[in-house]
This record gives sequence, structure tokens and C-alpha cells, in this order.
Amino acid sequence: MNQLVQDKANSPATLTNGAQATLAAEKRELAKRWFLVSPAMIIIGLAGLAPLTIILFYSFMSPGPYAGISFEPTFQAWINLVMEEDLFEETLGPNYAHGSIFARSIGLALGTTVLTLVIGFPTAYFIATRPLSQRNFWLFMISLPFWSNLLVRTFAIMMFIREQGFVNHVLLYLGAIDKPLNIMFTPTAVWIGLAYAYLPLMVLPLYASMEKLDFRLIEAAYDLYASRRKVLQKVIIPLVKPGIVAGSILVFIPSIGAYVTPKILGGGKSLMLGNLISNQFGTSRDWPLGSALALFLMALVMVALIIYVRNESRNNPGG
Amino acid sequence: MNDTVAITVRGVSKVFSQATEHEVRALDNVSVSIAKNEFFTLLGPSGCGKTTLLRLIAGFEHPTNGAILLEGTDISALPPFQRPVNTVFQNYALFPHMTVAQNIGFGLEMQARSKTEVENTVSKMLDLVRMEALRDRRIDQISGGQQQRVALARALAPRPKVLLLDEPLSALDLKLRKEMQLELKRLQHETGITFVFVTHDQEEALTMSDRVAVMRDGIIHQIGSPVEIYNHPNNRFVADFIGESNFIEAELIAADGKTGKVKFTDRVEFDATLPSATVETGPVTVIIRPEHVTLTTNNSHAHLRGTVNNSVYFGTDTHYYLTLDSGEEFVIRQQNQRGEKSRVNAGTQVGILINDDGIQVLAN
Repeated sequence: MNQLVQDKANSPATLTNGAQATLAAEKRELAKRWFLVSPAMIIIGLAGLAPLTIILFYSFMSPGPYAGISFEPTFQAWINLVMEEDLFEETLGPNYAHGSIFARSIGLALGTTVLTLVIGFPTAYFIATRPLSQRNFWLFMISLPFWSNLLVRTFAIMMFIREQGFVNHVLLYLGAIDKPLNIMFTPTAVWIGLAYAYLPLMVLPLYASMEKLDFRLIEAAYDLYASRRKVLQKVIIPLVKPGIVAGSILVFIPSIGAYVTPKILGGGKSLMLGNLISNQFGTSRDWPLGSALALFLMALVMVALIIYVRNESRNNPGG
Repeated sequence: MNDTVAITVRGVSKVFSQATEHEVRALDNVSVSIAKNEFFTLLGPSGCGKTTLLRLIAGFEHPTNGAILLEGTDISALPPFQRPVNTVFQNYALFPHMTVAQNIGFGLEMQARSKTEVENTVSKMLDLVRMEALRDRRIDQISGGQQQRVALARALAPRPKVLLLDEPLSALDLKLRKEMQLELKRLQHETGITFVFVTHDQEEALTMSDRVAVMRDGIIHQIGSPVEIYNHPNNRFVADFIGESNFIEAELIAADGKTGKVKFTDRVEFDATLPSATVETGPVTVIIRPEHVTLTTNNSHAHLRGTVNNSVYFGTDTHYYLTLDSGEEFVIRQQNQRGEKSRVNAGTQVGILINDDGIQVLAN
């Protein structure tokens, strides 16, 4: 489209009739294209850009007395994001409460990514090495929980890990522990819950790249004196790296903004960014801070995406 | 143990999906010895078990019965990465995430050789397969013929005791294939490594090999030099698979070791070569190669008589398709002489003179 506009700008004033006709046709073509993409543009505008603009605007306003905002421009929300006013000395210090929530969110999201990778890699390898007729069954089994409600799944995990739950019963029975483990309402519970919830998002892209893997290359590596560990390190991992990166991004992004899982499994002590944002629009009644936090979360996700895109373009310099 | 033997395959059977309805016996009690520095070819139609035998030697499969010995040591239980044997794969199986040089150096690096040794060997190998200029190219940036050379260099770089080649030339076009045949011969000569070559192309097998094993249905039908295999096939399958043959019913009237006498219907006796297996006198099938006979229009003293049905001109020679008086089909290949005169037209009554040593009796 740019090309068309430029061509028009560069075209000399003296045009033949034929060229003018072509130009008019191109112009009509351009208008038609704009018309055809307009539904998408409207959706992007209304559902994407407009709310973002509102959030950005809110983050520079003051909180309203009961909720909402009052139209007094200020940077206070952005300051409150990282700083905290000491009530008695009236000095600004770092906001440790926010800091610990940010750290926990990033930590849990990274931890979830690692855990799903560790569980998902052998799972995807297992599926990719099944006969073609069985693979769809295994993929279905892996993605089956994903089709049920997140809330239901989270409660299911809760039944599993609570004090009187399955895990504790088994461990007690086996004599591995003396008294029930206290997993519920700890970051560990959130970690397990998130990993369970987002495991399919790791397995599916991993499977997609492992399915394309030419297993004759593994034979070739064995033939050339590579041990099993070396084959994994030198051949399999480099070749399925796009899947590893895609899966990690797909798990990291929803994990860092998770809301339901930390709320149910984490209790009050294991808040994550999503819960903090929700609190600002609820009990804390600080919409500007909530807006600033939401934008901050988006920035974190963007960083993850930029790393992903740069990685991709390095892998495929041609594309 | 004989120290000139590289590979001994001793009574090896391989059964896939054993004790299920899909049970396949890919190899059935196969035994063969391959000498050091030999260019040994496993030849057979697809599904004959030749690739299975190669994979057993490489270690990708393990024999159901029997043992595989490398220079007298049983290696049947070793995984591929502990066998000093390398493979050139049919599709080359080059690592797409590595350069040409990295591919060639892979085996050496896995053997934890020093960096300088890896570099020196890679350079030597690139030189050997004439690929120095392309050492830093990615695999998808080089042609099929070049990939073939890289695959060869990669497999030769760790200096294996035996090099296994699984139909490595089948993906190349005819001209490149001819070039690579000569190249392989040269490489085998220069490196002095034992080559075990798998192919279904009989011409490839005959031109390149020191010895050929002809296989079908998991059984080796005959092992011998290309000349032996071609001139003295043991049975009908080998005769039919390698080159063109005429199969004629005859009667064996005398047998003495490797030679005997046969008689065709109402005709004189001929000397004939007998197969290694014992053949009893009586009705037998003999083969006569199309180029081991001479066509004659003067049929008074001919050995066989027939009528020309058709003749096909091939430039260097002409093929005549005949029906013998006995009703059997017969093909004759005659080298073309100068001038059109020598052509015999369809419908002509002709005689056939069988050259000395031109009759091979088949095992029954």
C-alpha cells in the first residue's frame, strides 16, 4: 500500500491517458482494500486500542473518593507502583509490598514455565514417537482438562494437594512424611496449580516441533558415537528449540497475569499481579494504580514477546 | 580368528513384531563373511532384508537369533555409538542446524578428539570429497550431490573399521550417479576402509563391488564376484534379477563336478557349467545369456532354431526376440557391425549358435 502511495507521489505531472486510467484503477483498488479490512480495524480499535487508551489515561488521574477517578492529572499512581510513602515520617521509600508481589509473579511464572517444560518435554517426545494412529488419542488426553473450566480444574487440584488430600494420604501411607504437608495457601500450591493449568500450552508446541523432527537424524547421531545424553543436547534440543521457545512464551504470559489460581490456591499470602490489579478496582478503590499496574504487567509480557521475536528472527534470518 | 575378516554375520535372523499377526521375518538364518578392505554389496529387490542386515551391523536393530562379529569380537549387544562402524544414510540424514564442516566434525567431537585433530581431519575430509569451498555453508544451501559428499565425509571422518552405505546414490540423477560410483570406488581405494553397500540396482552392484550377495525374502541366494554372479548364477532368481536371461528346458545327461553335458530336445550334446549345489541328471533348466550366442541365417549346423518376431535397435547392439521351434521365447543381443546388412528381418527363420561356456545349469 505504501508502495502505491509513493508511486502516486513520484509520478510526473504529465501522464498519458492510459497511465491515468491505471492510476484511477489502483486508487479504487486501494479504497476497496481499506473497505474490506475495515471490520478488523474497527474491532482492533474498539476492543484493543480504545480500552488501552482509557487505561493509560486513567493511570495519570487521581482516584475518585469512592471508586473511579477524579479528573486531576498526577503521576501519583506510577509513583505508587514502585514507591511508598511512610505514614509517620512522610518520606518516600521503595514499595516492598509491590516489589514482593512483582518478584513472586515473575518467579512463579518462570517456575511454572520450567516445570511445564520439564514435564512437557518427555510427554511431547512420548507422543511424537507413538504410531501415527495413537498420537491423536494422546494429544486429546493432554488437552482434555484444558476444555474444562479453569475454576473447576483449580478446585480439583485443591482436592489433590490439601491437608486431607490424595498427595498427603499417599505420602503418609508410604511413610515418606510423618505429618501432612502444608501445601495449600503457599506459593508452591500456586506453582503446582499453574503448571497443571498451562501444561497443554507447553506440550502442544513442543509436540508440533518434535513431530517434524527427522528421527533418522537421531540414528545418525547415535551412529556417530553420540551417547543418549549427547544426542539430546546436540541434536534433539537444537532442532526442537522453536517449540521450546513458543511453549515457554505461551506458558509464561498467562502465568504472570494469573488471577484465579493464586486467588484459590495461594490465599492472602501468595498474591500475584493479577490479584493486586483486581484489588485496586475492588477493595482498594484505586483505579489509577490498578491501571498503572495493568500497563506494567503488559510491559512485562511485551518484554517476553520481544525476546521471543528476536530469537525467532535469529533462527530464521531469511524469513 | 582369521585376521583378514572385517565382519562376520553368523546365523542371523531378524523377526519384527514377533508373535503377533504382523510378524515379519526380515532375515532368515543369514551367514556371511566380509573381508577387510573389501567392497561388498548387498543386492536385492526392496523388502529382501538387505537394509535390515545393514541396520543390524550398524546396531540400530538387534538380531533375534545369531551374532554379528567385528574382527572376531561379538558386537551384537553394543549400541550404535559404541561400534567403530559408520553409516551413509539413504536420505543422508545431515544435521540441518550445522554447517558442512560441523557435520563432518560431529563424529570426531563425540569421540572427544582434540580441537586441532577435529579441525585437521575435517579439512582432510573436505579435501578428500572436494568440498573445501563450501565448508561453512548450511546443509540446505548445497545441492543433493554435494550433500551426498558431505554425508560420505562425515561417515569417513572418524575412520570407521567398516563403512555402511544404504542406497546412497538412489536420490541422484543418472549422470551424477555414474560420477559418484567412480568416486566411491576411489574413496574406498584411498581410505582402505571396508565398504558394505546396499543397492537394488544390479548394474551399480556389478560395476563397483569386489563381491556381491544377492538377497531375496531374507535369504542370501548367492555370494560371489560380479563375474561369477553374472556368468554362473546359482538359481533362476539370481539369473533373472541380474541381467537378461533365456531360460530353456533341457536334459542333463552327465554331471561331473563343475561341468556336465546337457541335451536339448532332439539336438546334440553341449558342455555346460553346473551350479555349486548338487544337480541330478534328468530334466533341468539352463540359462543362456542373450550375448552368449550368435545369430546365423545359415541354420544347417545351428544349435537351436527359431523365428524372429521382432528386432529392436539400441545403437551399440540389436535385440532380437525369437520363438524357438520348441515354442520357447528367446532373446539374442548382437553387437552391431557397420552397415545395415547385418539386420535380420522379422519372420526370418534363423539358427542360434551357442558360444563355448555359454550354458549354465540352474539348481533345481
